Amino acid sequence: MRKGSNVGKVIVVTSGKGGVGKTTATANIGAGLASQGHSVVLIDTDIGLRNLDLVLGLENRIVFDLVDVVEGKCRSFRQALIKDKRFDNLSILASAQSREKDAVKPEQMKKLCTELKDAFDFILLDCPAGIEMGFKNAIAGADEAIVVTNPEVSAVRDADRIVGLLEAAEINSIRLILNRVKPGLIKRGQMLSVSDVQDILNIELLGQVPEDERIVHSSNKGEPAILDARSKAGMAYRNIVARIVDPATPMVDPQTSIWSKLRRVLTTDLGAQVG
Amino acid sequence: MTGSYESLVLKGTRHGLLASIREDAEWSLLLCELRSLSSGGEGFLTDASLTFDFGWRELTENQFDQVISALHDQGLTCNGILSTSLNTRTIAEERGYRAIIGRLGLAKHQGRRMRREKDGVAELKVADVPETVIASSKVESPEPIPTPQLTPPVLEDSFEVPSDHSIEEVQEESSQEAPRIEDEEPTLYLRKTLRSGQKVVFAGNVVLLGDLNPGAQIEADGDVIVMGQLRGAVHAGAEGDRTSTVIASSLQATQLRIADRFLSVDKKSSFFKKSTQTGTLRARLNGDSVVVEALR
Repeated sequence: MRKGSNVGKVIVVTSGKGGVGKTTATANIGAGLASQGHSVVLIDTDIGLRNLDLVLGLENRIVFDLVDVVEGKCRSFRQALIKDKRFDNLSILASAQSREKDAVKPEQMKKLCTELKDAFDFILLDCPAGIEMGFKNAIAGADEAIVVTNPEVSAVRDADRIVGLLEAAEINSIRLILNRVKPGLIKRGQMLSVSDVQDILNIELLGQVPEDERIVHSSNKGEPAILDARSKAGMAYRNIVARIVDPATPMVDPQTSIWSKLRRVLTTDLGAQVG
Repeated sequence: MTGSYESLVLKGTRHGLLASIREDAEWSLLLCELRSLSSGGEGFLTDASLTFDFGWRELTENQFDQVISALHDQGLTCNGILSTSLNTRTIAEERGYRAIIGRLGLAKHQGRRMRREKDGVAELKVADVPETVIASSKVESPEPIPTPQLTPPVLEDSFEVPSDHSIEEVQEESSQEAPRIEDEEPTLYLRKTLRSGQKVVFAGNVVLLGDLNPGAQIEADGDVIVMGQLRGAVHAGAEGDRTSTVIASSLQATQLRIADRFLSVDKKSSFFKKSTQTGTLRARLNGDSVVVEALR
């Protein structure tokens, strides 16, 4: 089932503030990793407000959920995993819709993550908003964290709080996805720029995702944008996935237009010839 | 209770009893005195819950367990601890006790500075009672401690400052050799970024080697020095010392308080503009107003 020989990685996708795009990021990164042949499991830890399954279009397949697994209502976690329609090596573990956050304990999450590590290359945890029980559950078993934020003062402030809590929980690899970037607004000085955000958070930038209207449509359809070749956000997520697999991959700046890229290619080529 | 111990200072606060352990006290003496807490006198220390300030002292697991069992034998419980040692805090946390970074230093500087009650701030308040009630061999008026109200101290989540070993090392050094600034006020070194929601309260000076992000707070009885971007809220001279200053290599504080005065900073104000342009700035009290000047 697994591609790599090492133990799998548990990555929590978190933000503090709600609505910044955690679930969309989890779904896209998961689909992207799976499309590259890695075995991936996505866990929706937002108990009571489940929606990761919707974004992937898997709602009608849920039989068992996260709470059933930790409570031992199904034989093993394998029985509760829902296989994705597009990729055999992508599955999700849905959260319970009719329960509360305290239905699961951090130790139970930790144990589950340890079990899953042996079976998958990547375990992505979609964390609920907030810093309460749901957050504590989600980070309990995580080795690494991806903090999603938007270029807004409130989202950045919450992300800063989250980074502080992650550091306190001794999660040392914390990387940032800046979502919903509007290059036009940044150029006019009306939106926080990437460097403004980095100035405060001071953590490694994994990638930036431009605002993309297509992503609303793809989420509603249950088709991750990363599979849409024409989507700008999808392109950004493909770069992010490449950087998760190999951190040495250079970051693509979505703000650079095709013309500036062409110019750069031409000038570097010319420069090489002249030199 | 006779109210006089060699190795510790007991203090009733609005939130419960605080036991400050003298950092230079012999361990055997301390244990002996801890074991006699309830038999010391009138015996009001039955069923009490204590918060310990161990200060710089490093406790071994065994020592911590000795303290807890000494309390247990007398029907006392431990509410949580204050310690600047990561090891000690970890030991306490492993056993399910709340542990906070910091030291109030009361056992050394008894009653020198008292925390005054501040509205709406839920934190460990150590001096809601007059100075004279400190039970210590060094205090002149050994009046009995009035029965404290035993509500547990609120050890806020935001109170905790997670730190790593490197910080601890710096702290150890400063405990042994660092010259004490002016009237022996202790100085807390922190080498990290203080992020939103994190708060440091310290009875002394605070030196932060790192940024103070928006939403983070430092409250110090003495001076505050930030070698980094100061974007959060700072209160220097929290006990009322009007000579306290705030020094930062980049002063963009959202709120700046010195003793009982404060300067709420508007991004449009000239102060903000000036501070973003010039380098290291110092804020101090001139009369009743906070002034900010370039530090040369």
